[in-house]
Amino acid sequence: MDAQLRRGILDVCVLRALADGESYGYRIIKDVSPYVSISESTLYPILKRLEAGGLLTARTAEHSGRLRRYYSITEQGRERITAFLDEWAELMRIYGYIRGEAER
Amino acid sequence: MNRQDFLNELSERLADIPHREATRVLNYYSEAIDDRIEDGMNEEEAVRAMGSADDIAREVLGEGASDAEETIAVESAAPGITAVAEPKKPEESAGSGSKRSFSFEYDSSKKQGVLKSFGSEEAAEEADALAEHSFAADEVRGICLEELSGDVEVMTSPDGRIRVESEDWRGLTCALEEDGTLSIKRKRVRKSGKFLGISFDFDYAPTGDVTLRIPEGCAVPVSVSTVSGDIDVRCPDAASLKVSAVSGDILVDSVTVAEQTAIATTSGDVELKALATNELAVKTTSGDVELCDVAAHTLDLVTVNGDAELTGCAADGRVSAISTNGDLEIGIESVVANGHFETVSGDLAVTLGGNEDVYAIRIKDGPSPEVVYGNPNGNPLVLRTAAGDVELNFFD
Repeated sequence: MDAQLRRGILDVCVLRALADGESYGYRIIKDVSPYVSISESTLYPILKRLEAGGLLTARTAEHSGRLRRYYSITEQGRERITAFLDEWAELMRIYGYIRGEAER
Repeated sequence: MNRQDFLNELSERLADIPHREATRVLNYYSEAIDDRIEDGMNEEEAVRAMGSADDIAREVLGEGASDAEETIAVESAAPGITAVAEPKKPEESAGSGSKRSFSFEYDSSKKQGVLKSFGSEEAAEEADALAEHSFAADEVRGICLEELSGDVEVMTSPDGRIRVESEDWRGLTCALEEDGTLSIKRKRVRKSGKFLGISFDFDYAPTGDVTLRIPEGCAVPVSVSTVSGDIDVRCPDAASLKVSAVSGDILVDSVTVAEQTAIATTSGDVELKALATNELAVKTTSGDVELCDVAAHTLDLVTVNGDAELTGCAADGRVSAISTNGDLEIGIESVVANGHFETVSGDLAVTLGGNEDVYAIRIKDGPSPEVVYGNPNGNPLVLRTAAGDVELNFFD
């Protein structure tokens, strides 16, 4: 997959993993990896970038005697998901048109 | 490798990045390993799942651009040999006009060279835009925001970080330079690419507004310039403040500047409210100037056609206000050490703190001879006009 496309998709996948509630690094990886391959080292810059962009917020909390960082999606993050879906609906329409042409 | 050895190795690799960021990375990986162990993996497996400390460090140092980056190892017997193989030639991806940049590094200890490709320029630009645009206040020694065509607001930050916000990040870059200056610029953007077989290629200058947020108490030099955009400065502190616009208006409200404040416009108006500074300089060509509740040690005001109105101001040092065609209405409540007010055709209405006994007054009004009065040993005060009216009053 094209690196830029993959990056865009991963951002939205990470946001989607937070859409149903707060999550943490390892769980995000488990939730996303059935769809797109993602590792700890790929996830780190994504989380950092999304936090800096105000698409998610992070807090540190104790979990069984150690610290864990929890991430939550912001309103802006949800808007990014909606924008992504809108763009793809448009793209799929074009895809369908092209397929129709190609099969003829 | 066990958990601790891995974290130690990673910590060594991160020696060159800011301590706080390195701690953040180490906490992240330590949490990731613990979570895998908690999930049933043994320590060895959990550590292996993290990948190599080298790769992680490179990813952290490359920040953001890293997943677009391809690394190709080139075996080489001796240093001096550069790229032996070029698995991807620049031309291959240059079909749409974008270029690939390559760099080559030779590691003598491993007798191995690494050829790096950083993806297309477009991807790099996009990565720049997505890169972090919030900075720890203690890492920034100065802020310089320039050549923007949109409006600029300088506001208070909600936390200890300096933040740059914009709805339009195209061409906008925030870079922390080696001397600690945070440099914010917007370049013209070249958009080229291929979409469903159709190539496109065009140039444009994005015009989005930018908000800069500076935490309270973070007094660094701040410099902001725009072309047509207005500039509002409402951050509480700055070490020095330099604001300039061509046609945009400038507003500075409730700001304390430790050293110099310099404001300049060509046709834009200037309004300064509740400003405290050491040295204040204001220059406009056709813009009007309004100063209200401004306290400065020295004040230097120059306009060509613009009017200037000062109310409730205080300046105890040298005060100079000069205009060609503009009217000057000056109200300074403190005693001025040295005052100079001059117009060619504009009217002069000056009211100062103190009284006639404090100043050595010289008034030159048109062709009539100079009038000298007051206390000959007092603070020098000169009012001069070629064709305007002169009025001098005192608060006491």
